[in-house]
Amino acid sequence: MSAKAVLPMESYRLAQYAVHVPCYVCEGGNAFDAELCRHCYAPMALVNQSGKQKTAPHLIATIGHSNAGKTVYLGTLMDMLSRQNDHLHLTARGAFSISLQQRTMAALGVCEFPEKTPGEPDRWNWVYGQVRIPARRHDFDLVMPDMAGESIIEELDHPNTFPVVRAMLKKASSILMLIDPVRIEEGSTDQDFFAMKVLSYLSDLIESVSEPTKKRKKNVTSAPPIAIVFTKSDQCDVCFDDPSGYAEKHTPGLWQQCQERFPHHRFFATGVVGACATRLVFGSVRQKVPLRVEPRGVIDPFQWLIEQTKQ
Amino acid sequence: MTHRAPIEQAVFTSARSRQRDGYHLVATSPGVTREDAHELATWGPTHDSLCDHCPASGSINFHRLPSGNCCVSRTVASGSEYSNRGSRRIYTQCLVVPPGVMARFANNPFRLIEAASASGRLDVFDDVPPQLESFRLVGRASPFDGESLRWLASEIGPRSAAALVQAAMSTHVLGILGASSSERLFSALITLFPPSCRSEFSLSTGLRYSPRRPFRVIALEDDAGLVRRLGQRTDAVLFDMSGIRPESFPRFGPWVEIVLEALQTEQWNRLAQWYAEIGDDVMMDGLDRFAVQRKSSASFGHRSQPEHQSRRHHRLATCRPDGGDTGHGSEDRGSPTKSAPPRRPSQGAPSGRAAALTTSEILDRGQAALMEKLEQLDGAVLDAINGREGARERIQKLWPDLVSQLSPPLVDESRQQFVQFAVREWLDVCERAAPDPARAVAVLDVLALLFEPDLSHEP
Repeated sequence: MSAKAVLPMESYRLAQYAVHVPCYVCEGGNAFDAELCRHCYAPMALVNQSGKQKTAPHLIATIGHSNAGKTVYLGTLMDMLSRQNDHLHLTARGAFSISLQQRTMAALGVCEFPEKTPGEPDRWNWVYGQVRIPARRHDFDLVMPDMAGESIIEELDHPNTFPVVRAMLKKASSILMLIDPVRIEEGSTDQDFFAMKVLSYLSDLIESVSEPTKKRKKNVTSAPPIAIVFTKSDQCDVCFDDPSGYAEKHTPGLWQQCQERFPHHRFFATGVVGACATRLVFGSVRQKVPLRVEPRGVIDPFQWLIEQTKQ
Repeated sequence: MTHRAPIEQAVFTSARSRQRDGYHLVATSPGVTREDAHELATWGPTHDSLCDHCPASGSINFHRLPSGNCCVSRTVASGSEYSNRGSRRIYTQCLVVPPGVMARFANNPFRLIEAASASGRLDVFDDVPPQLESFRLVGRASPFDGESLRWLASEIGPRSAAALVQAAMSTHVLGILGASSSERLFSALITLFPPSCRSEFSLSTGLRYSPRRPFRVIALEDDAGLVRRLGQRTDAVLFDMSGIRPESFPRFGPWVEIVLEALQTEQWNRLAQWYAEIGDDVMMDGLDRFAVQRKSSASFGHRSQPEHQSRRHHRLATCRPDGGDTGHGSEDRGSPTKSAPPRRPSQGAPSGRAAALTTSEILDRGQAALMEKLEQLDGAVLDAINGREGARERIQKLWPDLVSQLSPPLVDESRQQFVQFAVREWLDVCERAAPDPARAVAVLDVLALLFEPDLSHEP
């Protein structure tokens, strides 16, 4: 028998598919070369990045009603943290982590707000970054997604519609909740009700995660720290003076639930743009535009959360 | 009467409503159920979901709903989204169509959308009213559209079109790249399936691919990231219209062979006749089997589908030994049986009482009861292969009876046809992505029954 040809045996490649790679967010199994988790659509790049670290990254869930300002706040926060060196510094890991910052800054740079975040989780922007605090010896990693407000609301109203939202809130080590005070000033109660729904949903999640033998008191202490941030405060100056008092007065449901169920909470007020105006596009479409970028109180909530988490 | 049932509607877009802000189901008509509303919200496209290549007329989308109704929707970019960030509002009007109404439009979402548009039911609201009205849609559509098939054959060629049909049949997700007119292409593609199979499709002509909306057939834009993401799915096939190489297509299945023949010969009426014959019972996964059985039964000399026994009997009655039509039975003049070859042709009749008889001659000589038994045997064979209870016993009862009445050449001929049929079934089973050994064994079992030595006649 003589050899007529040489055929490379590459069946070993199939073996790679036999081992499932768990998603960082929902822990569902995926193929080693998957780009998105097939269960929750979170990027599998998070797994690749976290696999290089000794300790698991912290997950900070940023939640808020539609048009609360999540994208603008997170994008500006990333931009500011990546530029400052003296106090708190964030280095984005992976090219995908830059997209949010790039998108936000590009829009604000031409006096526009970034486009709306699509409701499909596979099109969300995620940030994987390494936080460095000069006073501390060790750096740590964190993951922050920019979720669409509609998806969060849909999950609150119809649980398990967006598995990624549920999985993330379950796993989050801290919560950043954004509230739009402009809507509150307009007399709308939807911000208050939304926040109450979120806190109620979180409480249920915590209880379901906690062991049944534990007492309720222990459940309360296992609640993650929550920073409640009044965004767009440049259009509502009263927020800056006393955010907690503002919350007690204008969002009583939220304030009450925080007192009862989440001992680690704090109210903040932030503003990214100094002033806004409305212009007409094509003669009929009204477009709200930022007149200047004037960040105020952007880093404080994040810094407080980091401190709480590290404690 | 389900075919006159009202069509419910819903609008999914960006708005500030009493319930919610942002993209959500802004309004529905009263007949939309909670389950269907939830499903519509899940499939609803949000910001920037239209492909760049999508025309101004928007994207036509089609999928099933939990209630059994179908959602036929049109998505357009119109106005600005509610938060006044300057982005275009994505506006989707969903029609919740009962199965009877879909059937009236031959289960073709494109024809239904045309009818709805012509009746002024697809107007885009600047401010969507909180409640919409259900409505009735008049008209109907032919299950067949020769013009669109002619366009398809000339645009990409018959073999490429057949490959497209094969890909649509055999995959969970078919992404089509580089289509010059996705709406026209999809309309032609769906025409190449019988109406009973069309509602199994879900499709979108212009929405961006998202795993949240698992459409079965979707037009892809030239986005390397999206294409790569879809390509990673093991159950997805990418079909690049700009780089089609017909010679690279694998062997086609039985149904696609029929489609290819029709596209090559432009004998649209034959395809239309197939659709008429298939009726409402054959679904997508049974289409190839139906084609095989239909072809083999044509060579059996009698047809095999129990549900068509009345038509089968009539057809046999009108078929002369030379394969022509006796001219009787005007009802059947439009059926494919007119041009069908004579069934059970004699293979050169050696000797014996009925050596030169074909099955048609049997019938002509007044032996309708014998013919009926042969057809019952066909039905029993199919039932046994499909694993139905009692089918084997029916074969064991019918076959000895037939052997005693038929001449040896006809018995041999019948066995030969059954073997051919079994071989096709066997190949069909082997070629499937998930082979069904139980079916293969059932085929062997049936053959064993028909070839049992104690039943064989002496030559």
